[in-house]
Amino acid sequence: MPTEGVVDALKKMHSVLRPGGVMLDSRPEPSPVAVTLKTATASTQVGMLACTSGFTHAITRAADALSLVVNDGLFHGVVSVDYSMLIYIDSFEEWQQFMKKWSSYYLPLDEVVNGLIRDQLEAGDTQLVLDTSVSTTRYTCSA
Amino acid sequence: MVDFHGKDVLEVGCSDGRMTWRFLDEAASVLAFDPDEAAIALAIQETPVALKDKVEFRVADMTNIQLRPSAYDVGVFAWSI
Repeated sequence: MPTEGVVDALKKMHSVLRPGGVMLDSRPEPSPVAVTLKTATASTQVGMLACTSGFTHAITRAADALSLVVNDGLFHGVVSVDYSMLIYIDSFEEWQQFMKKWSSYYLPLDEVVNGLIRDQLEAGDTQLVLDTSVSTTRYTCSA
Repeated sequence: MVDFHGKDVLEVGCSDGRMTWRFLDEAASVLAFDPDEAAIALAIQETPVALKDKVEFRVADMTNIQLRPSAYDVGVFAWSI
């Protein structure tokens, strides 16, 4: 979404919030994501998901748009928290759906690693764990 | 960061409700939407029966959804901007 589109979305959010209401923006940081296969007895990191340039640009556009609406006085009282969020994936189908959904954010793993993930998930008793860095920022809606 | 207790919440980009479940119990009401039809269908399917009365999931995006002005206490962009 271009910066103007994000600004429009933020202005719409301001219009539907009550004065003093809170807007939360939660999003992944554009940093590599550790991919780990986890069984009941062991965890093995099998790769890192690299971010696309589009993901980095999208985050930049969002940051620009948020700065604009704060500077325009629509929101104030900005507070941010960064944390790690684990995403658990139980099947290869779910893994494929995740990568399809976030294909504009993350580059695919190489075929060897993907094959290992497929084999382990289809064998059962294994989860895939994605360790993502997430940022959540709170904004207070101005009158 | 936010006390959702008794609040009217708008969630943008709710996907399958992965984040909705974290505050639905406390909130007074939740309108959650996402353009992904399959994800919304899953969210509706997985909504706990006891909480169905206070959450509405819709297929929509921020550009086309009709919303009442000054109607919400908390607005959440969930990985959506």
